[in-house]
Amino acid sequence: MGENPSDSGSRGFRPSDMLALPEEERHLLQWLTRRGRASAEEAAGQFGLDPAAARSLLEALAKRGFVKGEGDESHEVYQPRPGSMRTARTLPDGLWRKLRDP
Amino acid sequence: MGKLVVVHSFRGGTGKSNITANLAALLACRGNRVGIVDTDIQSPGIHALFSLAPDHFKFALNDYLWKRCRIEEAAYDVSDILRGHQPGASGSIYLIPASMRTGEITRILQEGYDVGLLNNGFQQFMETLELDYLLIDTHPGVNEETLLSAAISDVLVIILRPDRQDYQGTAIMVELARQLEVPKMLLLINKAVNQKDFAALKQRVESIYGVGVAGVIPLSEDVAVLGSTDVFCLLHPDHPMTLALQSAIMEIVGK
Repeated sequence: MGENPSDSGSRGFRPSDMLALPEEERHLLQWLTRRGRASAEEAAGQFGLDPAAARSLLEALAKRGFVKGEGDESHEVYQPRPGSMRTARTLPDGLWRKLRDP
Repeated sequence: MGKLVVVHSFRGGTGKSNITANLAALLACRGNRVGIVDTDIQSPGIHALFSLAPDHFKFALNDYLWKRCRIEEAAYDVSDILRGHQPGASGSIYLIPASMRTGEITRILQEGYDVGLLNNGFQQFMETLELDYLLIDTHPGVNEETLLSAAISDVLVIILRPDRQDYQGTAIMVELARQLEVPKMLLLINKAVNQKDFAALKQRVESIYGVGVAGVIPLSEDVAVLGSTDVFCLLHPDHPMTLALQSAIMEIVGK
């Protein structure tokens, strides 16, 4: 991931972050990304977990900033939270200015 | 909901955009509503095959990513190309090009964009235009756009040439696609020489990667002569390249 996952809470996840997650969290995030949104109960049904275990995995992802939960505890629904993507960040600003305003 | 098909290759020059355009045309010839998104923001080009001139894009994918327009406003109906060659064709093709303005390419490289917006844009494009298939033309290699596209794809088509560098790179892509749990992965071998050896080549590649080869496309001077000025399979419906792509279509639609 290039960064400590705990540092990335505010930025959402980049696709490559998914690959660096522990297996159970990765499966869950990939599934959620395809599906769009799901409750802990739905995730539990999908992965054959008990709902408390599914909620705990979702909360771990939420703590990293990779998903966000909405609704009250009895009807909480989780959504993936992709972050922003930026490449070639290390180029100096002056070079970017020249490229954009030749 | 339509099917999301991502066309990718580890290395450049494999014919990815050309194959994407041809697959889109073949799907549309079967009566489907087909969308294409050029996510190769660093080196866009698929618009050329549909004779869509960069001066005529009011909006491109870049504009959507900068929230200057809705995704469907960056889509252009390029179905005339079908009717031009096959008057009875009932399908449609909608293309979202990437910007060909130098400043806009460098701006997006510098500033990046919101991954969630790209993901939502694919879904919205499919829903708004009621697409049966959405084809994503990607930038070669391993990058965030490709990983995102693969992570949400229904079918991932990996193009490779019979070339050692392509073989090694394809192994990486196949491994990543497995980690991302892509539901269906297909290989397409392009620019193959020695037609007599195609069956053996297909078998060899399938055994190396454990992934089905959907078609072997011969190296063709006819494709080179066309030079991205048109969609090849519409001009040459019985050409070996078109037949190989037809067999890939059967795999994509699920027989």
